[in-house]
Amino acid sequence: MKVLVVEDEPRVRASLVELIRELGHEASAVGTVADARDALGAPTPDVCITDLGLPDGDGLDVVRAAKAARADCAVLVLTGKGSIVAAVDAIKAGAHDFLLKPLKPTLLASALARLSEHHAPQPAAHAEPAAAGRIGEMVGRSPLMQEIFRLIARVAGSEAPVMITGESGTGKEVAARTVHALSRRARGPFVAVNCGAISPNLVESELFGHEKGSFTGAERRRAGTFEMAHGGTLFLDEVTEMPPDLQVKFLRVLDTRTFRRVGGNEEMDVDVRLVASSNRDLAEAVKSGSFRPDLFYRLNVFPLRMPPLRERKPDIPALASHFLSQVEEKERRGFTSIEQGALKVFDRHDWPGNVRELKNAVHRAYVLSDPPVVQSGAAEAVLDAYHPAEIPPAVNAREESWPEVPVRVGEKLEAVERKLLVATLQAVNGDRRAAAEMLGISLKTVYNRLKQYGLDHPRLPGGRARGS
Amino acid sequence: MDAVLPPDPAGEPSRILHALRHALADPLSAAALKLDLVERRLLSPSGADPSWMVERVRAVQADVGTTSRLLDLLLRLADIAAERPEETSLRDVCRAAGVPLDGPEATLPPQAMRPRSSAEAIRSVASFTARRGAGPPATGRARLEDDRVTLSLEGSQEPGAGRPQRLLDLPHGIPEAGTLFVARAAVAADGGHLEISERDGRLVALFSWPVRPEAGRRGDA
Repeated sequence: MKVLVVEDEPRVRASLVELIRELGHEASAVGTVADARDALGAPTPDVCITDLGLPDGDGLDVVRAAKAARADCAVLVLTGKGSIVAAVDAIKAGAHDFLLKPLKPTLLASALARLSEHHAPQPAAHAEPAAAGRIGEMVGRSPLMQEIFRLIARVAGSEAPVMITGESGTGKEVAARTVHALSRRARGPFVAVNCGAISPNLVESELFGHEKGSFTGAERRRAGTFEMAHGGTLFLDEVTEMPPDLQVKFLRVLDTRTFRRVGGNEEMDVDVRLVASSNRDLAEAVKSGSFRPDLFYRLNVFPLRMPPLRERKPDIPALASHFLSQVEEKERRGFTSIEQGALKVFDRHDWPGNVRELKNAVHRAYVLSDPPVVQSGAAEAVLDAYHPAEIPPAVNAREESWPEVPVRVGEKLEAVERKLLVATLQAVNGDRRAAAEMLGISLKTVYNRLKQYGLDHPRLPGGRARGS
Repeated sequence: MDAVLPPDPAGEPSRILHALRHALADPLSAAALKLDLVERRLLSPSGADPSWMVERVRAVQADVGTTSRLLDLLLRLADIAAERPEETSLRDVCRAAGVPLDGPEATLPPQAMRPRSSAEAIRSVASFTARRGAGPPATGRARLEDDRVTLSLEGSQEPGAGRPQRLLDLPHGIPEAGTLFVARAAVAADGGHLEISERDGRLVALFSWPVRPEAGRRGDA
């Protein structure tokens, strides 16, 4: 690759050039914005590494000039620990990633290796997702989804953190996986963490891992989430549920890109791309003080809003067909299509559970139909059986007919939560979605809590979900 | 590299530390890159040429020397922070700095200043603006403006390329960069501000300190 270094400090500049050449790339260097503009003329480098503070201007000018000269020129920004805000601004302006000073040569080498490995042009399928009507596992031809595809294709090539918002079931994790799959980290791991489901007692061990003997029960060394995601993408699901203590620890890792295992002395470098999601209003979470503004700023570099299914109903036929193919692939009963009448039934529905609800409905209609087509009667039966108005949470939660849950003063909150969850599930015959609505939490949180409390078993009340 | 200054509610003292931290990152980065290079060569099958190695080792030693000088600046900032402000007047501080005040006698109120650090700051900036001490001495002009006392030093030094204010940000290749940076810190420690600009092809330094409103009204002959 051709690499241009823009750095005013002569010794850093010379050392960078020498190391980049040692790594097998062509390198040239300049010390000012004006010289960078000249150097960015033909032939434009593949990669531009620029300091943010330059004597005659701002590194952001170099970022813009590089992107203007060649859209796929990857710009790496060099910045100090106290200038993360400026680095985030640079990413918003189109920079690929930033590297902290004092520089860690290993991080620079791995960033260049990734860029080099994936320097070839993106496959046509990625370049024209709109025409294909799908990108990764995401399906849709509606204008809303075409825009989402365009944004995902654009952001995937950078290292910018992505913040995906949207109602439950809109496909936030699928979008996160798509960003990863289209990124230069695709061959690296994709690690998802549900921020609301990490036990407070195990937070540090979960994220950072631990050394053998670092605490009672630590019988062997264990890699944490950051270590597991090294070289890949870390997906922070339900990020607004992250406890405040954890937010501080997280921010530190994001700022320094290093961490230590619990009980360890070694400072370890971490190289992950962050994608976060939330079904809550993030700005509101910041305003209410439950989410740190600095962390919000770091994560919200590239916001992506997944629209609810009711706003993209034209996509229902393609989605339903896609889900039918998935089910048929597993069960092989000889289904080929969905009746127009069934699609009309689906179109009339409001889909409060969004794409996930449609997926479940297709599966259930598939079960109720005879091959080779999913029939409208089956679709009607499925949607009649599930109607959100059946369980209006605000009303039902106050119903005197519901059983009470006895709670003693001083009882552990975890125990109270477990009891309430079990009682609610029993009251709604194990329907997790209904329980989630009544308790005012997401379905995913219900699943996570069941797992956390060891209740994720088919014989227990939470062991089945209506619609799945 | 220059400091990239974020919005900073803590003000100038914090920005100064921020700039120093950035300055420290440069030699540390350079040294880390060279050491990585040396390690790669040593581990490569062809090994490292001794003269190439010596060159890199010496370069790392130079980086260590730069780091050491920057750490000295940190100690000088600590000295400034440790000095207690005293009730004094700018006129006395200028006298201690050996910088005579020009023009009509200004009414300068007593103000809380670190006398030693402030005098040193005025002396070093005056020397720099006076063609690094080689030209005619800089002349000072003090004024009382509302709630601030200002001191303007106009020397014979011609500004170089770039923004003169950059001289206070620890730029590369300016021998007095550390001294000017410490001067900026000394002024900031008393709530003041130092600017360097260009006027008629000459460098002009403008010091500015706040004074209490009642002190401003009372004055000092």
